[in-house]
Amino acid sequence: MSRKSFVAIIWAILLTSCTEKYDFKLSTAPSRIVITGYVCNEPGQYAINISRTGGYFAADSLTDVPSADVYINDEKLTPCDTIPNRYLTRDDFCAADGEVYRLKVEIDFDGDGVNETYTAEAKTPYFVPLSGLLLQTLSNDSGGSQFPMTTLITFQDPKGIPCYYGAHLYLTTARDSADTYNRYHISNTPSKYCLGTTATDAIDGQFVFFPAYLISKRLLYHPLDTLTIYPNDTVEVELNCHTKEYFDFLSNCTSSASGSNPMFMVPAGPIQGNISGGAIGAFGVYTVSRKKAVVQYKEGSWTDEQMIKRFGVDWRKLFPKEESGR
Amino acid sequence: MRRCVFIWLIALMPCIMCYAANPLVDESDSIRMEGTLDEVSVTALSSRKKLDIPSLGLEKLTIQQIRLMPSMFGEVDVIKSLQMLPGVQSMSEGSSAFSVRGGAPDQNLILLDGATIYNASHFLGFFSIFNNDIIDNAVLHKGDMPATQGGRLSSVLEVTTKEGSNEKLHGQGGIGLISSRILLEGPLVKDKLTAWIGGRVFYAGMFLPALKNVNRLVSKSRLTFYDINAKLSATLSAKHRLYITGYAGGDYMALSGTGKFMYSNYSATARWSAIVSDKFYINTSFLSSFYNYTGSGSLNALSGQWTSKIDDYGFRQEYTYNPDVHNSLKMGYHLSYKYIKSGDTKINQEGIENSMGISIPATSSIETALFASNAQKYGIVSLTYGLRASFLNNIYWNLEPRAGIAVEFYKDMSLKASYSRTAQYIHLMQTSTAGSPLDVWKVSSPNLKPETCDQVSVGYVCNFYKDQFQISVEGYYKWLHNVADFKDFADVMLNKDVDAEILSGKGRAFGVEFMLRRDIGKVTGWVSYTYSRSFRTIDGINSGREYSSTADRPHSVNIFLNYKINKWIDVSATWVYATGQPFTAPDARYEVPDFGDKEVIPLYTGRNTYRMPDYHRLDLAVTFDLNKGIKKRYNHNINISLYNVYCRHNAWMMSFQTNPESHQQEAILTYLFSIVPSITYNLSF
Repeated sequence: MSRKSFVAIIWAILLTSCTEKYDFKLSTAPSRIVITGYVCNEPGQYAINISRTGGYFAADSLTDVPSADVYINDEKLTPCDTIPNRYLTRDDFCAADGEVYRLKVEIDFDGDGVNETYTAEAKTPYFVPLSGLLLQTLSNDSGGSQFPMTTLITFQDPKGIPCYYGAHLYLTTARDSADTYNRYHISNTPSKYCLGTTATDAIDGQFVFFPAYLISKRLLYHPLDTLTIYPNDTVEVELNCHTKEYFDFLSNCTSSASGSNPMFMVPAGPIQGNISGGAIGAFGVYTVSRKKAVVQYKEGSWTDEQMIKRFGVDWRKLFPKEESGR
Repeated sequence: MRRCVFIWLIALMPCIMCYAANPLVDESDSIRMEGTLDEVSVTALSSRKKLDIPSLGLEKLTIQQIRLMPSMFGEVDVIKSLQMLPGVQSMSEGSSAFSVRGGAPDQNLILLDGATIYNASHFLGFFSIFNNDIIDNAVLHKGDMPATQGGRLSSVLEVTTKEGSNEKLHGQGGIGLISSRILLEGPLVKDKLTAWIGGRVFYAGMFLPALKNVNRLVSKSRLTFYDINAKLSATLSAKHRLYITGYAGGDYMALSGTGKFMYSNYSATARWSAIVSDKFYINTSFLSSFYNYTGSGSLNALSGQWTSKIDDYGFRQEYTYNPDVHNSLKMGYHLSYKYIKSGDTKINQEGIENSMGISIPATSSIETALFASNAQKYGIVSLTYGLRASFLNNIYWNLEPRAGIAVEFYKDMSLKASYSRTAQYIHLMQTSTAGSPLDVWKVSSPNLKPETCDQVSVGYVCNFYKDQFQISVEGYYKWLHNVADFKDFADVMLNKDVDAEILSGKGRAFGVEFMLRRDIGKVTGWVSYTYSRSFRTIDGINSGREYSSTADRPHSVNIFLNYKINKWIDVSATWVYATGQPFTAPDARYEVPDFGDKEVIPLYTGRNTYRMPDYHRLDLAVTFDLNKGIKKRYNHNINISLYNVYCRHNAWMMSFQTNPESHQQEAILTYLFSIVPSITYNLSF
């Protein structure tokens, strides 16, 4: 082993921080009701979820709450058959431009025999259409792999209107020899959801281009499940404009979930929401605009084994080798 | 030839650092000014002297003491050494950021020969910018500052560089595993002009390419920092001297050829000392300090740049008048102009005509201070009292009275008491406790009022066993006003409305510091214990209830011992203990299933209601004089240090997460270092 290698390894070991599980004692705050949900400006069935808080290290069920009566603008929602304490709108619900939506939840959460009422309201925000989506390679190596990539989205921010943006990411697999299309919602939790705001006039009224998601060859779908991206897969980004209260709630959730870090530590605190009566959570309305882009094949980005697994042994017919000097 | 090279290096210095700044005239300067202008080497604050100085919370370390302490990565560090003193705490493992008597890191004014240093750290805080070769001493005022000093609430750290040899060309340096340093000093014109220049470079990054088989990305990265210091001392006449000192230092990090990040400090001082009469002296100083950082990168067609800077220009004049042997009067003024551009980002994308970015408007301010103080001594009573009037942009002003008394009521024993009021007009908008370079400083504004602090201190000092030992006890209580803290989930980075992310309120801190110290003999060092509390009460944080500040660490013990085994072997050890740092931990959990999958979100209800595990660490060092204690033309030694000898896993961070396999929530402790060995070869000639 050369001296340089030895010193480099020592240096890397010294600088590599280590982690260990720690038996930390936390107190437990009294249980509180949690109400979350949203509706959108495209037809669909939307859900209001009711649960409660529990001890951080406890293993108790958080959906163990009494049944409730849930209304949006006096329209009663129906309980979901498969998921407890989830209440659904009709399947063609669509938030109208500029309309105010009022959520009302009646529930005997404290068990005193009398229903408590929790309310919130949200107004459909300004609709901002997505102008473009570009899958851009993040590498300066001309001969390198095309991964990682970013989903560069472009849109025109309206002047003088505070907008609270978020972006969802979806992946639709290409048809292969054995399977049909599958559409995966990658940003399926708040901390995987991309948020950005132009509430201040920092970029107010600008034409915005924003690298919303970083995509590696494998995308985290569930904590123990990742998806491999192949050529001809479709990446879809959905631009959302949120009401401020729901945006703040999601932002607080993301910050809380990311934990503390001495280098860039954001002081955590109680979550901000817009549900009255001391409930945790938020009710929001957001708008939707989508764009799609297809992942292109690039030599060297996938192994033969991967391509055979996905497209069969004749995969070269689909992706002929590029001739050099072309 | 050698002299030509030396002159060339000195001549090059102004090109590297383009300013001039000036140190305050401290007590040691006054000593130098008396009678002749001959240099008087400044020694540690002697046990005898500490008895009759009315100031409390005054600590002084010489470079000789600092060099004896065990060091991390073999880099002797003045700030890490100061963290061994009672009332001074590191903000996180290995960090140069420090807290004094429960204050925040931005409440410490750090001066290098009088010039303000805005970020005194390298490499994310693991090293300070102070090259130990160029330091003469470091004085820390822990709150009871003289009226001549101000601008920060908690402390003033004055790092004074050495004078330089007037005899012949000298040199010294050191070679370590990850950094090396060198200093050259000597007369340019005998008895008229002396100069020195010193440099230090950190080269651990050059070993990264060796990791290409381990991590290609890391192997293509670069990481380095450097420091260059220089000083010219000119004797213009028997009554006039001119000092010019300068510093330039920077960090450079590049990630795999795609982006780079640089930050740098520059400072310079020009000080003219004039003896008007044997009772009247004038010190005039021009000061400047610059701090900036730049991040840039390009990835294919997407490129971006982030710049930020602070320019600080100052002018200071101080008059010293000694009417008789009982009084020493000082008065003067200090002007400071600051220009702060706290964030300017620009992103470009090929194919899109306009660029996108965030530009935080620049701010400028003029801070002015007038001060007058007198030190009196009549018999067993020593008094110091003064007044500082400070102004910001003619909007805010504060009167800052300072007073202290020391009574040597019995042989070798004195009682002390003091009061001071301090004001601070500039605030650090940063949530890092580890010394991130992305510092955003903000001058007081209508929404961010100046912070003030009233501090009372009492103390007892006793020398015994022929002045070999000293025991001291100091107690203090601080009332803080308009003290700022971040609101919950503050959005600080590149926020032009950052004022809205800050809330102000009141605070208090109190504590007692015990210290037993020995500076003479084969075994030297100290043992100290500090009880210290620090609280804040701010509407909008912690539901308006009082909460612990991040510097609230009730118990701390510092032990430093050096044993000179023989003429050529020194062994030293330090042991530190501190109550764990307060931090915010979740009291509950809830789930948000809105986007399809449930995610457990921690629920926080209070600020800093929990503590990290207690911190403790043992360091050892041994220094071998390779000349076996005999002074020769070339002297050299080897220092071997072990940091964290018993591999304590001290928490750098505590996080809470859901285990992906068990789906149970768990607390995860992150620690940075186990045992860290280092070896350094030091040479002087």
